[in-house]
Amino acid sequence: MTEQSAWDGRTYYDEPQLRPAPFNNALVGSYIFLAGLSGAAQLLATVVDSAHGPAAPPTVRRGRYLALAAPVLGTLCLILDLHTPRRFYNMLRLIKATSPMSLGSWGLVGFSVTSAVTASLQFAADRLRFSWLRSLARLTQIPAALTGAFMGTYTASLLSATSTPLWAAAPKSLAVRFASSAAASAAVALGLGERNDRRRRDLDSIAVAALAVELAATLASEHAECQAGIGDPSHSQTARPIAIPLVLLLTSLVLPGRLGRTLSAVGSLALLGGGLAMRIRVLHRGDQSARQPYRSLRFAQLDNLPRT
Amino acid sequence: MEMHPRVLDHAVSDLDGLIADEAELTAGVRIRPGRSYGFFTDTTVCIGCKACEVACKEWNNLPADGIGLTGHSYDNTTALSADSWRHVKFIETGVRDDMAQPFQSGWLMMSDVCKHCHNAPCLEACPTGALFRTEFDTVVVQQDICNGCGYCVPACPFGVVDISLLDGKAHKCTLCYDRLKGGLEPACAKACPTDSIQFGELGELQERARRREAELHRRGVTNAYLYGAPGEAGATGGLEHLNAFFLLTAQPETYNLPRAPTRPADRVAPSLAAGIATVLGLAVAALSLFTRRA
Amino acid sequence: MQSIVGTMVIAQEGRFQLLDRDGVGHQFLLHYGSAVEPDQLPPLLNRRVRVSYRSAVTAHIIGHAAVHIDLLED
Repeated sequence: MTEQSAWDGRTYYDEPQLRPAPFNNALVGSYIFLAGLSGAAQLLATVVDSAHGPAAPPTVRRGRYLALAAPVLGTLCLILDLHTPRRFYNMLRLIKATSPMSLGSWGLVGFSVTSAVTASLQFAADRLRFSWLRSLARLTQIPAALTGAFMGTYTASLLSATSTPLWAAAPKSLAVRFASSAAASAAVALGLGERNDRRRRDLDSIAVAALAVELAATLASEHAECQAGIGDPSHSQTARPIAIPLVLLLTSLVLPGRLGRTLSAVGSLALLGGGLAMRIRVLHRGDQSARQPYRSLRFAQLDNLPRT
Repeated sequence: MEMHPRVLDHAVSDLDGLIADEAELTAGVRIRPGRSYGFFTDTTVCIGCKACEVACKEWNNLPADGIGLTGHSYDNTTALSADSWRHVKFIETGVRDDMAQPFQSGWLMMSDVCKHCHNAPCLEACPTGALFRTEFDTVVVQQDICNGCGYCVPACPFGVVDISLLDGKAHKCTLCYDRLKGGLEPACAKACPTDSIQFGELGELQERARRREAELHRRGVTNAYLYGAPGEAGATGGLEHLNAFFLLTAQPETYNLPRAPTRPADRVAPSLAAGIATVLGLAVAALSLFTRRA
Repeated sequence: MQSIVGTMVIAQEGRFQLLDRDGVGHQFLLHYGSAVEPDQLPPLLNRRVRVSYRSAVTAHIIGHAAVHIDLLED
């Protein structure tokens, strides 16, 4: 490469060098949250079902119904976000491995179909008491769980496979953050309606573990952004929305009876609210980084090229 | 550029029909499907007339946008957009500070356009297949397929493609796809009075550009370089090369261009792997917790 | 919503230009909610049409967003 002098830090009249994603952050953030919640709920329901045998407890039932949130509400959010909504079906014209949006559209279709079938079988089994309905649901839940795992995390690769500096700087830690947040959200969502105390505490324990992973990944993201030269020192509060539910849930695990249950509920709601807010905040901060030419030009420097 | 002998057939201006293979007369290239075409923009001969902006707007029937004065030298267009597919940038470098050299006299002028990247990130991001590679190796958005999802917009490392909020679709330079099909060179290249914008077959353009770069170095313009040629700035990180490349005389950032852009699609696999490993890892942990207690 | 009558003189992708009775050209793009598709425009070239549109001045564009096009019999 022709040697040029290093960048002197000046921009072109401070005009943006990149374009931010034209998404409605509330709609897309909600979809990402719901996709994670539903996908992980289906996966978690499958795990509980595998552990407790064919007598599917209420937890599994709730998980299978919760898995319908993304197919129903999330799909609506996505269609409304399109700038020519009446052509939404064009998403299924082809499948493209380089486009997480293409993979995700098909993933959403696969997850929706398999989850709808599983939930319908659950609904029928509860009313008709044919044992083969339950057995069939145990089969269909497997592809639903696998596509659910994909749903919980592909949205991070959707953001990272762009030129937006904040999203592109730390693709792996962003994926870990979205995945662990999804798992934590599903665990507490199932725990909120859980009457069995021991199972609720198990679900809360899973949420605590997932939150710990999310906290570590968030710190890793911030470190990667600083290494890439695009760190935003004014924004160092990202640990708090994770630490608060983490502490609440951890405390609820050691406290007995009514107090423990109340703390668990409060911590669960804080986690769910925090999860949705995190997605919207990531979108908003990403758009900001795309609009700031100093950061986007700093990101596109030779020291940030992937090592081959 | 020498005159093609066929030019003599059209000594009088006659507008009763299309001249067959007109690009042979105006650009010295016969346009055939299956070959790679692009632009070589030599910014050292750009005079900042903006004929390229006007020709592009006229030919593509684009509405006027970006109305108003910016105060940024002669650049009132500001950026490429859904309705501006050519954008001339002006940078005044110390024109009035001291006794400037006659060459360029401190003015930098560059006509920006869609780069029609070899591994176009917008095309790789498009989930509907609206963005496709034409038979001339250019990148075009099919207006009857695009549903305005907007994913191509953040994918572009140069901030080129844009969604129109009025018609709800993505738009960018088509390299005058309709003109190419008719054997005409793109409107901007045809209108450029100094041949700063040169249209042609990519291989031929790259050779010509290398010769021009060497010539400029010989004449003392040692900061001249090719942006977007294979192995150069702008063609980094998996993009390979840009079909529309430039000869610049200042760092890329001065022209609001990224020095080392990357191909976003390379981040898909590592991200998916990390995320799915996390989900499955937590699922396994959950399974062991439930089965121990069951 | 407003409407205008004129002759379609240019049709390019989803954009077209209407020449009115006074010889003034008006730029249009197809509104995202319009049922008109880009390939339906070329057959309307040099024909008189009535276009119902939304004004785009607030979108910092000198042009209008066409919602409906009626072919006028002449």
